[in-house]
Parts: sequence; structure tokens; C-alpha cells
Amino acid sequence: MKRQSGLAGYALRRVLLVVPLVLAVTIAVFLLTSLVPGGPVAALIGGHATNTAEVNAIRARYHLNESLVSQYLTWASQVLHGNLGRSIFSSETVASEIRSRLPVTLVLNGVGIFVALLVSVPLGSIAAARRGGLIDRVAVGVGVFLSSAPNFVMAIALVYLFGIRFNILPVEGLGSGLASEAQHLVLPCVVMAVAPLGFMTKIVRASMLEQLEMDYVAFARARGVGRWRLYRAYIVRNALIPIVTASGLLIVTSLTATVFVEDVFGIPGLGQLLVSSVTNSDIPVIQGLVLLVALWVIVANVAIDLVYVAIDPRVSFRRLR
Amino acid sequence: MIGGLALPVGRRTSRLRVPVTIVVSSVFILAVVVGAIAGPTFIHTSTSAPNPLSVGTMPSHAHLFGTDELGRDVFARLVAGTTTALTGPLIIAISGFAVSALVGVAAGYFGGALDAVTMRFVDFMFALPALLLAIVIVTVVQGGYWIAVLVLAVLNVQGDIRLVRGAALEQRNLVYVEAARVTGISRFSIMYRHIARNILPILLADFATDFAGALVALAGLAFLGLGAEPGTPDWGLMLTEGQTVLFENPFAALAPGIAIVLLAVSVNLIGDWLYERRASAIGGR
Repeated sequence: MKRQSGLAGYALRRVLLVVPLVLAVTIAVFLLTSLVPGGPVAALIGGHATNTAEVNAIRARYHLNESLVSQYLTWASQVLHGNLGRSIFSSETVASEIRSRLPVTLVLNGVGIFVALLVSVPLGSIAAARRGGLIDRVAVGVGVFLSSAPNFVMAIALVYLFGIRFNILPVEGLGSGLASEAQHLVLPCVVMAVAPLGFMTKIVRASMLEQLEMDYVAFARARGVGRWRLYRAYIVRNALIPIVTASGLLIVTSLTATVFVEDVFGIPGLGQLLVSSVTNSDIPVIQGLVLLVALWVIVANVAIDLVYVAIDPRVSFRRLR
Repeated sequence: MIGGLALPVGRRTSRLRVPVTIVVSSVFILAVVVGAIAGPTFIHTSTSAPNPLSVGTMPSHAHLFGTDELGRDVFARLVAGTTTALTGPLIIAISGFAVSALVGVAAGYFGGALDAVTMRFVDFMFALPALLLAIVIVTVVQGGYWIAVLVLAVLNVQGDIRLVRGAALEQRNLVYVEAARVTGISRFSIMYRHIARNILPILLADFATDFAGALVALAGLAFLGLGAEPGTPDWGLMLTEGQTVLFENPFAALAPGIAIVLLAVSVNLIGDWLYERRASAIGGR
């Protein structure tokens, strides 16, 4: 094993592998317009053009008469300059639409994942350590129920409970001012945390249990290794690997959850932008969002793989694809 | 480790006790199935005729769960919605089952290039946000319920393949497979008759997970207006439409929501139970 060149070399190769992936993604996003019934023209103006002159003008303006390859290159160079086109619906540029909505979505995702990990890691660990006990049963219940309950159902239930029944929290929009915004984001953040919390509790519990049953744990116990040290230095370190992988998945799945949460609570974020562009068939905006999400997913996956190496140098280099 | 002595899985005699949660879940699933099959024969309340005189009324004797934003009976629509709630997820789960049984077992058994290609594909699919992708595809091709089912069926196979392939890999080195090989039983027969049968509980547990996931995903698409046609009694759609009368009759939105949760939880519980039972039968974790 070439352990010496390992880390840096691995990181470099892992990052280089991203290049073809990004290429594939951009081509797919570019071709999205051809999938639309009616072709690129219909996609670009949002409907079927009946006027031939208009169609020809659009074809000329967007270089649709050139070969697909040169069309792609034109499009890609524009994207590289931050030009993602204009929304059919609002006439704003796609880039500015995305920029103004990105922060709130990031807050929702970040807080949701953070809260989920904050609760699920201790809960799952204690459950595993005291298998069959009360906390374990609670953890199993939480795991199954919360990870099965769809976030849009959860969101509507919370809107009803806190917004209508008890009327103690705002459930619509963002409000203005920091205090008001924070108040408006309480319920959405709770919903964002719920499903990951259930999922992670399951994962943490399972991976801790798996380690607890290993022979090395029995040996360590027999050798008289202290309980605290056993957990900290042996079990948690080993159990961390599946936990990190699963947390990485959260970065991707939470993005989907935002769509529903922002829809129910009327929060002007990227999810709402996607829903409105979907209802308006606003293809340029959809293209921009898909591109953003795809890059986000790719970066997240690379980051997870690199964190992997940091935690466990043992498996990393063999795992290289 | 102990795997070498693994007995064939289905030793039912030693584990007759079925937990209460599993019984309750099974009863609920049965009720939904009965609702889908026999519902139309027993419930004659119209699910589509609007009644402007009783919009968003609370539950009453005439309307068990009240009425929705158009004055339609929520309970009748809930029962009618069992059909779309079951059909799509069933198709998705069956296709996942079939693909993972064919490809997953073969990849695990043969290993080598086939396995490598399959796993790269699986890794790639895992990196995709499936539901988000489904939202985009269904929008762009302007498809409805069936397109949604098709897209989700494709985007769902990777998890199944990975699990089944892992299980098949574990079985490959067991004594019974070696014995079968020595006896001259064909590879096809070893894979699809012997190994597949031994990992059947995993396949079934997977089926349950797929079903629950697909139910939630389809409801989510319908919730965004990307599934069943507006007007059809579909749980996801009822949830969106019922939101408008959340103040007058919360059951219009909460009843289909609770139905989705209950069905998903029931199916997941049974899936988890099948999986754990198999694990303890083998003596592994």
C-alpha cells in the first residue's frame, strides 16, 4: 500500500473524477429544453409559438439553428459567466432569482441537519448502550415513526396545531426583521429536522449495536478497559463511519425536504422557486436550479469521501473508485 | 463467522410470537386493501359531486370526516383514494423486487466485472436526489400519475440492488452453495432457486421499504400537483386541496395525511420486523 502518497493523491484523484461528472450534468441540463413537448422554442418562451417570424427570431437569438455541440458550447460559456438566462415568468435573471432565495434555504437545511444530529446521535447511542430499555424503545419508535412520516404531512399538522389550534407561532411567510424571521422559521426548521432525526437515530443505533457485538469489545472489556474509554476510543470511532456516510446523504435528502417545507409555510426560498417554476413550466429557472442542485450534490459527495479518509485511513484507499 | 453454519431461514416453529405492533399494522393494511377492493360497492356517497351548501363542515353523522373545500365527503374520498395509494407503490415495489432479485443476486454471486459495473451504477444513482429529479422530470415531460410511477420505479432500484447484492455475496461462500456447486447444479439454478430463496426475507423487507417510500414520494408529487389529475380522490392531492379549509375542517387535510403516515409506518414496521427476524435466525447482528 502506498500510504505515503495516500492522502494528497487520493484527494487529487477524487477531485479529478468530478470533471467528467460535471460535464455529464451540464450536458443533461442543457438537453432538458429538448425534452419539453414542443422543443427548445416552446421551453424558452413558455408555450407554443404560432407566429413563424417569432419562432425564427428566437431560433436565431438562441443559436438554435447551429449544431447541438456549438449550441452547448455557447450555453456553457454563458453559464460560466454566471448567465443562466431569464425567467419566462418574472423576467428577472435566473441568477438573481437564485441569489436572493439561497440564504433562507441554506438556513433551513443547516439548522434542520444540525438539530437532527444533535438529538439523534446521543439518542441512538444511549439506545444501543442500553438495549431493550425504555430509551431504546423510545428510540426505535422515534426512528420508525419520524422517518416514515412525510414532511408535508408533518408540516400541515404543525400548521394546524400551532397556527390554528393554539395560535402561538406564525405559519406563513418570513415576516420582517431578525426576531420575526427567527420566529417564522421555528416550525419550518422543526419539520426539516424531523425526518433526518428519525433516520439518523436508526442508523446511529444500528451501527453502535454492530460495534458492541464485535469481539474486540469483549476483549477490551476483559482486559479491563474503562467503560468511558471503551466508548470514546474504540466503539465511537468505528461506529462513526456509517454515521458519517448517512449524514452525507442528509445533505442531499434535506434539499428535497425544503421544497415541501417552503411550499407549506410559504417561505420564499429555492424550494418555492422550484415549485413556482414547475407550475409555470419556467424551464430556464428549472435548468438553473437543477444545475445548482447537481453541483451541490457532487460537492457534497466529494466532501463526504474526503471526510471518510480523515476518519478512517484504513479503508479509504481501497474504496477509491 | 457463525454464517458458515447458517440454517435455511424460514424456521417458523421456533418463532411463533408475533409482536402486537405487527398485528395492528397488518390489520390496518388489510383494511386499506379491503377499502380499495370493496369500497365502491359499499360507499355510495359521491366522491366528485360538489355541494356548495356544505363546504368545509366539521365531522358529523352524515359526513364521518366532514366535507372538503368543495363540499365533498372526505371519508368517501379517503376510501376511494386507497386505489391510487396502493397501485403506484405496488408497481414500484414489484419492479424493485424483480430488478434486485435478477441483477443484485447475479452481481453478488458472480462478482468481477458485472459486480463492478453494477456497483458503480448504484453509487452514481445514490448520489442523485431522487425525488427532486422526479419533480423535474415529471414537470418537463408534462406527465401525470403514470409518468411519476415510471420515474420513481427507475430511481428506486439502486437501494434494492445494493442490499440484495450484499446478501447474495454473503451467501455465496456458505457451505450449501459450495455443496450445490459440487453436485453440478447449474449456476442459474443456484442463484435463482437456492440463493434467492434463502435471502427471500431480505427481498420482502426491501419490498416493504420500497412500498412505503414510493407511497410517500407519490403523495409528495401529487401534493405539488405532479401526480393524479386534479379532482381525482388521491391522498396527496386531498392534502393540498384540504389545506384551504384547514381552519373550518382540519380533517379534510389531516385525514389523508394521517392515512399516508399510518400506511407508511405499518408497512415499514412489517419490513423492519421481517429483516430483524431473518438476522436473528441467522445469528448475525
